Amino acid sequence: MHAPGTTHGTSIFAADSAPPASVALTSDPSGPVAPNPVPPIDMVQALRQRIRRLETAARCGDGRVISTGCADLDALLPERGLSAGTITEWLTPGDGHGARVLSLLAARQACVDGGALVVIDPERRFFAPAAVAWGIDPDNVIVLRPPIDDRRALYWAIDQSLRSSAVAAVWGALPCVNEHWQRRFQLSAEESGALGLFVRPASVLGEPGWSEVQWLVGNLQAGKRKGENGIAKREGFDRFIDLRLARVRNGTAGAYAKVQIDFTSGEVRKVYHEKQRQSVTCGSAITTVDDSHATEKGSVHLAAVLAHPASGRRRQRA
Amino acid sequence: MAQLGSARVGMPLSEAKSLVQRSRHCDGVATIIEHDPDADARALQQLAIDCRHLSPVVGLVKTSEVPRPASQIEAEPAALWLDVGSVMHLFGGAAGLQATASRHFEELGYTTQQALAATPGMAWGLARFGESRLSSECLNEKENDNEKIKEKVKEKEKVKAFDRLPVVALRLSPATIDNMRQLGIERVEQIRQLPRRGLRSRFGDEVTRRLDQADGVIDEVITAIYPPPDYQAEQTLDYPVSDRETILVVLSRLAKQLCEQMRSAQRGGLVWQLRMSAPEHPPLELLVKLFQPTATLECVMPLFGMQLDEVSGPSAGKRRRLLDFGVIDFCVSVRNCVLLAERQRELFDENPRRDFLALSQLVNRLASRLGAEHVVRPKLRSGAMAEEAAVFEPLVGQADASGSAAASAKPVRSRRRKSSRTGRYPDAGFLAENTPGLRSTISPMQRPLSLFPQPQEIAAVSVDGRPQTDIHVPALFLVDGQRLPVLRRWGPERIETAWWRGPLVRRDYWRIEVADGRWLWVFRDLRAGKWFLHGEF
Repeated sequence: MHAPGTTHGTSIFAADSAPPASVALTSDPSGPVAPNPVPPIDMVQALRQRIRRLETAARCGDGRVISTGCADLDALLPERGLSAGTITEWLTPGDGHGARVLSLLAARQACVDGGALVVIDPERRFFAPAAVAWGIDPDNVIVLRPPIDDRRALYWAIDQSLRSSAVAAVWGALPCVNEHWQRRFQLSAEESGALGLFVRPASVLGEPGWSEVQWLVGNLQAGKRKGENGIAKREGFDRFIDLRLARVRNGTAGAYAKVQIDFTSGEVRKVYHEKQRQSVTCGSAITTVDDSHATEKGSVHLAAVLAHPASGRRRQRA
Repeated sequence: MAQLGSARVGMPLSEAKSLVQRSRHCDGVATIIEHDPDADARALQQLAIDCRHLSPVVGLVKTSEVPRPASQIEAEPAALWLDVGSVMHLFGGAAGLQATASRHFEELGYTTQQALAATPGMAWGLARFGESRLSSECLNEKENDNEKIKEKVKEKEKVKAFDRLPVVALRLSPATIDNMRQLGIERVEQIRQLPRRGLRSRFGDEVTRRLDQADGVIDEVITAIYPPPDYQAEQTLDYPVSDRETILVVLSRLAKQLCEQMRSAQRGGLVWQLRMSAPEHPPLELLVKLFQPTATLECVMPLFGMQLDEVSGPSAGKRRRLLDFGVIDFCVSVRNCVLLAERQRELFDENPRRDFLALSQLVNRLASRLGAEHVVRPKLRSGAMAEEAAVFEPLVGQADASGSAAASAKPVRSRRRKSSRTGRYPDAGFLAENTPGLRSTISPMQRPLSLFPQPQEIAAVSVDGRPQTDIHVPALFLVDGQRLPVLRRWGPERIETAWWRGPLVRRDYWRIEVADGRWLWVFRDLRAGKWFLHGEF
C-alpha cells in the first residue's frame, strides 16, 4: 500500500473524469472536443510527471538515481533505478533466499559517490568479509548493533542514520516496524538524500508502508527447474533468484524477472523478464496478486485508515 | 644507596649509619630522608601514567594484594601491571617490548624486575621471586616463523618455574604464609599436590583463589590508571538541584569554560566526563566519548542531554536516586585532548556525502545513545576460520597512543589525499584502514552474508530416513524440526587450524541449496562427526 496522494499505474486515473486545467494544454488545441471517458496516454503521462514533481520536490537527492546493481532490474523501474532519498524494501520468506545479496548490491552502488554505509545488525550476523567480496569498502562501513530487545533504540538509530547527510545508504534486515517509524524513515531519507535498503519478511506484503519500491524475492522450486517458464534446467554454480516488483511509486507494479548471479564474479544479469505476472513463487507458498487492482485497493484502504484511523484499526483487528 | 653501603631494609637506623660511614661508596656521608609512603604512591602512579605508551592498560598492584610482614617494608607495592597482550606486535614481539620497557625505566632512573606471563598473578610472582626476572632469553631471541610455537613451549616452562617459587609468590596473607611454613609447605608446587577441599577447609578460599588467578582459571581485572584530566572545571551549589534544565545550565556553563580554554590552545577533547555528586549519595558520572576531538559546546551538550535523559528515565533504577535527591557538586573534565586539525573547505567539492564533520556528529550521537560498544566498524583479519576473519571495533573511545578512532583516521585521510586530486576523501575510506590484501581473498558467493555467532547443530538424514554418519552431504537436513532436502551442493572446502592456535578445528564446509530455495553454509566437524549450520547466503 502506498502513501496518500501517490499514483500507481493507470488505474487511479480511470475514475478521474475531469483532469486539471493545466493538463488540458496537452489536448488538441483546435477546438472543444467531446469528453472522453478514457484519458489519452499523453495526458496520463503528463499528470504522472506533474505529480511526481510535486511529490519529490522536498527530496534532497538532486534527482540522483542509483542503480540496483543490475541494469535489467533498473529498466523495470520508472526512474531507471532507485531515486535518492527513498526507501526500498526486499520482501523475502526468510534468510538465505538472496534478498540480502540483491539489496547489498544496491548499497554498493549507493556508496560509489562517497558516503558511509550503515549496516543494521542487532543479531550480530553481518559477515564483513562476504560483504567485502561483494564490493563493499570495509573502511566505509558503520555497523550498528543495538540490543536485540531494544527496538526503539534500533529505530531511532536507523532514523538518525537516514537523516545524516554523510550517509549514503542504510542497509539491513527490518523485521517489523510500524507506520509511524516508516514515515519517519521516509522523511529522514528525503531530507538527507540517503537510501534506505531494508530486507523485510514477505508477510508484510500488502501492509501500509512508505517505501518507494518493494521487491518480492523468491527462489526457483525444484519442479520449476525442469523447463518450466521456458527456462531450461540449470546446473552449475550460478544462483537464480525470482523477483517481482510488488510496489513501485509512479510506475506499474507486477513486473517479474529472474536474475542470475554469477558465482565467481558476482555479476547479476537478467535471464527472464515478464511485464505482468499474476503469481510468483515465494518460498514454499505461492502468492497470487491481481496487479490491475492490487494497488488501487491498497490506496483506498490506506486512505480510509488515514481518514478514520480508529475505525481503520478496529477493522484491521477484526 | 642503602644497599650499596651494605645497609638493608629493616635494619635499625644507627646500625645503618655506622655501616654507611665505613663504606667507601659514599665517602662516609649518609643522607637520611624519612620514608614517605604517600610520595611513593604518587611516584608509582605517575610511573604508571608514563607507561601508557607501552600498554593501554597499566594498573597498580593493590596494597591489599601483597603480603606485608611488619618487618618487611621492602614489600611495599612498588609494582605495575601492564596488559600487553594486544600491543606486543607493535614492538616486534616480546623481545622488543621488554627492550623498550627496560630502556624507558632506565631513562627514568628506575631499576626494574620484569616478567612476562599469561596472567597478572603469575607475572607478579615471577617478577618478584623468579630466577630469570628480566627474561634475558627473550631479549636475545630472534623472531622467526616458529615464534608462536616457541611461545607455547615457553609458557609451559614459565608455569614450571612458577611452581618452584616460594608460596609468598601467590600473594597470600602473612598469617597464611606462617601457617604454611609450620606445615612445611615452602613452594607452590607443594600446594598443588594437596587436595583443594583440604586447602579450603584449612585456609578458606584464599589459597585456591590465588592459585586459580595465577593459572588463569579466575580472571583478574587490572584496574587501569588514567592520567589526570587535561581540563577540569568544578562548581558547588548552595542547594541541591534536580531539575533537568538547571543541571544543563550549570553543565553548559562549566563546559563553556573548558571549551574556551581548549580553543585558546587549539585543542579538542575526545572524552568528556560529567561527575555529579551530593552528600550521602553515590556520585553519578556521565561519559561522552567522541569520534572526533571537539572544543565546541554545541557538539557536546546534546550528547550530555541524551545521557541525562537516559539516567533520569524510569529505567535508570538506582542511578536515578541522586537526581531525585538533587545535585550539589558538578565537575566536568576532559581527557585525551589533541590538537585540532583545521581543514580548509575545497571550493568545488560540494558533495555532502563526503562531509566528515556530519559523519562524526552522527557517530557521536549513535554512540552516546546506544553505547560505544554498539557502534562499531569491521576490521578484517587474516585467518581461515570464519569466526576469526573479522573483528568489530568501537568507533569511539579508542584510547590508543594516537588519541582515538578519529585521530587514527587522520593520517589515512591525509595520505590518501595526496594520491588523488578529485576530492577530499577520494576513496571514501575514512572510518578505518583495513589491509587491502585481505579484501580480495575470497570470491562472491564463497562466504555467506549472514554468519551465525555460534554454529547451529543440525541433523543429517540419509535417503532411507536414517541418520547419516558418513562424510558425504546427506539427502536432507533437519533444521529446527524442518526437513530441508538438499537440491545442489558445492564443496567441500576444508578449513582447519594449526595446533598452536589452541584446540584443533577441522571442518569440511559445503554450500548447499535446499528445497525451499535457501542457500546455506554448512560444515561437518571432522573431529566430532556432526553437521552444523553456520550461515545463510
